[in-house]
This record gives sequence, C-alpha cells and structure tokens, in this order.
Amino acid sequence: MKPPISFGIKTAIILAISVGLALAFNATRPDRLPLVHDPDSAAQAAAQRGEISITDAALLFESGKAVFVDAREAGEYALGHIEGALSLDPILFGQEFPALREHLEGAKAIVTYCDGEFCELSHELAQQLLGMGLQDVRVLRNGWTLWRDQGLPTATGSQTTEKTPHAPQVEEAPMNASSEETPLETEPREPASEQPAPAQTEPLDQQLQPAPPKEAPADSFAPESAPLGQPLETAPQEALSPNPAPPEPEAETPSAEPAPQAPPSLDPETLGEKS
Amino acid sequence: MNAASLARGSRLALALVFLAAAPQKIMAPAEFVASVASYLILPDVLINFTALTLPWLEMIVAFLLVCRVWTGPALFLANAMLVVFLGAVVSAYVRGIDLNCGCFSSAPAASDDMVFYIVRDVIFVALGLTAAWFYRRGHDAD
Repeated sequence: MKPPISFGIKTAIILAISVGLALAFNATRPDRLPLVHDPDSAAQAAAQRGEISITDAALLFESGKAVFVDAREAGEYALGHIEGALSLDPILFGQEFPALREHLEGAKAIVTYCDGEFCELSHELAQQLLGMGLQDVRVLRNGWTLWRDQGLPTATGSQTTEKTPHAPQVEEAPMNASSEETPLETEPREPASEQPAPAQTEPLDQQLQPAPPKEAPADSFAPESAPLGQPLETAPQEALSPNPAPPEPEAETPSAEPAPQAPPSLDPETLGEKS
Repeated sequence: MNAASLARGSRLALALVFLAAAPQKIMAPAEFVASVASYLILPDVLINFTALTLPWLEMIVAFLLVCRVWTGPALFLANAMLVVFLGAVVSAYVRGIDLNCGCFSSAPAASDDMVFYIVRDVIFVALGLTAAWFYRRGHDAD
C-alpha cells in the first residue's frame, strides 16, 4: 500500500513541474528570455521593436529634425500633447493621413507616441506610417506620461489641418489659435531672429535645470540612466543637432549635458526594418 | 441547485479563469515581463523568472482543477496566486502606479480602471475561496 503524499509535497511537486515546464519551454524558444532580467537586453529588445527612449526622443525634439505624432484620440490630444505634435489616430488613419502627409514626408524622423506602458496605438500608427512609405519611424512607449513627467514642453488645444508641426527651423511655427504652449522654462528666451536653433524651446539641458521633473531627477537624462539608448546605433550629438542652440554658460554643466553618444542613428533603412 | 453542483461549478469557473489568463502570457513572455516589472514590486533578478513560471503554474493548476486531481493543493495555489495578484494591484493603486493601458482614456481617469481591476480580482478571490470552502466541506472531494 502506497503511503499518501502529503499536502505540502503535492504543492511542491506542482511548483516544481511548473518551473521545469517554464524553463524547458523558454529554452526552446528562439527568442528566449534570460532568467535574470537584464536592462541592456531589454533595451535591445525595445530598439528592435523600433522604440526610442525618452532621452533620445527629447534630443530629437531639440534638434528639430523629428515630427512627433500623437496616436491617441483627438480629445485626449486636445487635453495635452507634446509641443508641436500632430494628431493622427490610427483608427482614422485613412481619413486623417492625407492632410498630414506633407508634414510627415518632410520630416527626417517621426516619433509616434500614445500613453501607457501597454498602449499599442503608437505601434499601430508606426506600422501604418511605414506602410505609406515613410521611413525612420520610432515609437516612444508610454510617451505622453514620460514626456509630461520629465517636464518637457507640452501644449494643449485641438489640431487644425493647416497647423505646422514642431520644426524649429520654421521661424514662427504657429500651432493654432487655440493652442496653449506650456514649455516649462524659467529663463528668458533668446531672440530667435538670428538663431538657427529651435525658436520655441530652450535647449534640453536648460529646460531640465529650471524645471526639475516631478518624479525623475534632471540627471535622469544622463546616459547611464537611459539604457534604452545604449544598444542603438550611435552618432555624435552634432549629427542630430547641426543647428545647435546658442551656447550659454549654464548649458555647460556636465550633469545635464546630453551624452555625446545618446542619440540613435537616423538611418532610415535600419529603423524602418526594425519597426 | 445542490452543494455538489455549486462546488463543481465554482471549481470549473476558477479553472476557466486561469485557462483564459495563462496562454497569452506563455506565448508572449516579453510583454508579461514588462507587465510584471511595471508593478515595481519584485527586484530585477526575479522579474523574468516570475514572468516565465507564473503562467505555467496557472496552466497546471487549471488542468488539475479541471481533472479534479490533487484538488486541495491546486485550490491552495490558485487562491494564493489570486491573493497575491489582488495585493499587487491594490499596492500599485495605492502607490499611484498606472497599470492601465491608457489608450482610450487620459491619465486622470485611469484610476477608474484600477478600481475595476481590484473589483474583478476580489470577485476571483471570492470564487477561489468558495471553491476551497466546498472542497473542505467534502462536497467536491477528489
């Protein structure tokens, strides 16, 4: 007569079988995960999904080479969005894209975003944009929350079709009459007339100093705390900022100076395929 | 409806909950890793291991509940998981962590969804405890 297996042993056996099956199944997967969470590999996986870190997105914003596209519905866009971002709901892509095509085709990089870690609207929109032949489309995961929490420039108001996307090279860049730009700056702006740099925004490192984010410190833009940018192909900062903002003494503080290797490559082939 | 029917119904409903939850997490472990990490509860070294093994535990527990094999330990593990899940969601809610997708709602409204998740998990815990109570009373013995 077999002795009965105790409750505890049965529980342990169930747990052991679960662990064994999980590890065996994971080992057979081509994209198996490491047992220990590795931030670098996580960043690499994010890059392969065509995602961009908030640090790199902010640098692209500063460079003025990227057009940001809000994938949330128009009502949420009106409540608040990245300064200069276009509104393009992937559900209404067919209706809304033609009016924005000109702006998007003129951009050297496109960054889509929505809100929330698990929001897929930005990925859907990126795929649709790639399908229309646009290149260098990136996704800023959880973009709106990250952008707002970092104290980066935001705006409110609904979109009008004639509005101009964020493009610092464009002198006036009027969003629309109902928009209310809310960059978090405390220092007076430099006159924009002779500056090739962004007319609407201060350099990123200056924004971070007077406006520390609510949850993340200003030095969170340091490269070591932005692992998402590490595995990406890197290029010098100057490659992204051919028209740098006027140098100011405060901007030279090492703690807030953007990393020289932080921006991702803007190689459209690579990025297009990754997305 | 007699006690045996209620016992069987609650056990199978509990199994159904886990059967519905597990496959997607097994097939997309990277997404589940991100989900586990977003709770900001586990240390980094445990995130992947937890995300890999938890769905399989759910699947096996569901299988045992359906087959009525080792029902006692299976019910214990099911209830333990549900209580942990509920605790994690409540903890995230208290700490102001938005676990909601946010795709169709702005951030201020996200708390409504968190309340929904909490209420849903409370119902699941109640279901699990009901099944365990019937089992302990001998209405649904192996």
